[in-house]
Amino acid sequence: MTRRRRGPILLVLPTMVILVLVVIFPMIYSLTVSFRLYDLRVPRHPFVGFENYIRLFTDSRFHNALGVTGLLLLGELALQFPIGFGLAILLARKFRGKKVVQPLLLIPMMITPVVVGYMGRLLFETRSGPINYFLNLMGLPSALWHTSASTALLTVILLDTWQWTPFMMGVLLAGLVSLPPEPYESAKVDGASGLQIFWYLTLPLLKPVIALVIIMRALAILQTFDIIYVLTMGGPGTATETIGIYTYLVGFRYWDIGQASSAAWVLAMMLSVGVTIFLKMMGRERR
Amino acid sequence: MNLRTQRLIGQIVTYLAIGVALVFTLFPIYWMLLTSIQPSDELMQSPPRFITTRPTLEHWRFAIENKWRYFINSLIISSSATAIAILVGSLSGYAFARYRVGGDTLPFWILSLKFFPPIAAAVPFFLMMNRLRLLDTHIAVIIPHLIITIPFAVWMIKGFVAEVPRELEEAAMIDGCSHLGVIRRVTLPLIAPGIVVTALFCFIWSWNDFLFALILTRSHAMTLPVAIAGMREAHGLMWGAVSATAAMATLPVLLMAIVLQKYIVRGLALGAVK
Repeated sequence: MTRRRRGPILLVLPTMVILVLVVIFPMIYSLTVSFRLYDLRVPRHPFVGFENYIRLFTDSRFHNALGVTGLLLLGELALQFPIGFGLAILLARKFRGKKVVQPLLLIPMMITPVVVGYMGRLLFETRSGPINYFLNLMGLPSALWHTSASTALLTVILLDTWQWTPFMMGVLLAGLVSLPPEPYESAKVDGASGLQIFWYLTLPLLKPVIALVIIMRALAILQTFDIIYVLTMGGPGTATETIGIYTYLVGFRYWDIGQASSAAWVLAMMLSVGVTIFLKMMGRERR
Repeated sequence: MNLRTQRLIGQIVTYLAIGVALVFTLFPIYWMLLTSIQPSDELMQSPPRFITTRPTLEHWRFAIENKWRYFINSLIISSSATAIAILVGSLSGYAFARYRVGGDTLPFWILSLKFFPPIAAAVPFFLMMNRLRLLDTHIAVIIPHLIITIPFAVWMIKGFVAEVPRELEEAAMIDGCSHLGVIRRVTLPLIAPGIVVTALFCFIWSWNDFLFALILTRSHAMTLPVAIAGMREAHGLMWGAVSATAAMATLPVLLMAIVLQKYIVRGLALGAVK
């Protein structure tokens, strides 16, 4: 290897060494733990093969966590994508005050998720929270929100929608304003209606960006933890127990580190499918 | 309906929808700030009070007196995780952009770590820090936070370097500048704003983390988000105090968001859109 090539590799070396130490090593360690009966309260951790994984896949509570996470994913995307897209289309127009409004609408996604969870406790407070107050004003009965098993997940979805719709909006808006103007001009000349232009021009042109925001959100939703920890701790019962919360409870409440490791590995495997798709799309974007 | 009224209706609908979105976006923040300065006897009243005529700083005093050390812990941990990320990230970001070290594979692998689930790393980190007797120290949180900050820093800086035309560096080199001199006098000043943006984001990602700090600290090194989550049990219905502490955690992020305005979308979309 010539001297010219050695320099760049030296530049990359510190990053790679650190990443191997903080990612690869812990993950291999966690994989070995997932094959052991690892209870922190007892000194010996015997090798048990796939037993943790078998216990995991036969645990009805884990099935519930998969279902809750799936519902969360569908519910959040079903709200965040249309609202975010709608706002992006409006913001792509010219109107007065846009320069002030746009950054204000992006604020929620910068706020600490734990704080958002706490805001939820304030706003959805059942007895004297402002949301139930407004419901009553409109003649609707108060709801129990996060304190009832039937509405707790909905409350989580609404809160996360508050925080992350701006992400959908912002990225889709950036995609909209970078679309080439030429096809639009010729479509107008040909007398296409607004709806036709949107359906046959904007949507297909924007498809890569749409796919990108959806996969990025999906990857984040599958890991949801902070807001739920503060709002419901997975409850009432197991109504809001996502894979993340399940893993935490198994590992750090019941101290079954082996089983928690196997759950974490299953989650990591699920995510890696999404990440592969994401990387393919990022690669295509750059070409 | 002629074109003009049609356009007018379009304008009205736009303003109306944006107005509703603004109210929904800002009300929760307003409500938290309001709660943090309302006297205790006005809190959790039915019907709720939407303004206060008797603002008080008692909750803020409580938050600063009792939670300040967690604020400092967060500050130490986030600054350290950011500084390390910027240091190693600038080197490798430059190398990835200019020399294409590792082709596409290596930078893409690093990018993929942005989606690495903290819960998966939390378990082994807990065991390792436990064995090293490092639980509840700043170091124990700073190290796993590098998973959050380094991939982001590398990827962002790589993007910013790629925007500096290679010809600029080559021209300076022809004028007799050494390679290191070129980086110092040409490239670095040009990407300096990008590095500041990257650093602010890294700080926010580390500041906002909850899971690592929750598992790896108990009291001494506890960060502000963990302290807020813990107030639920310890303080019963101290809404004012929790609101003031939560606001204390939010203000630095809000200030940074103002600086970042133009870059927020780029940062969150990992440079996929500008």
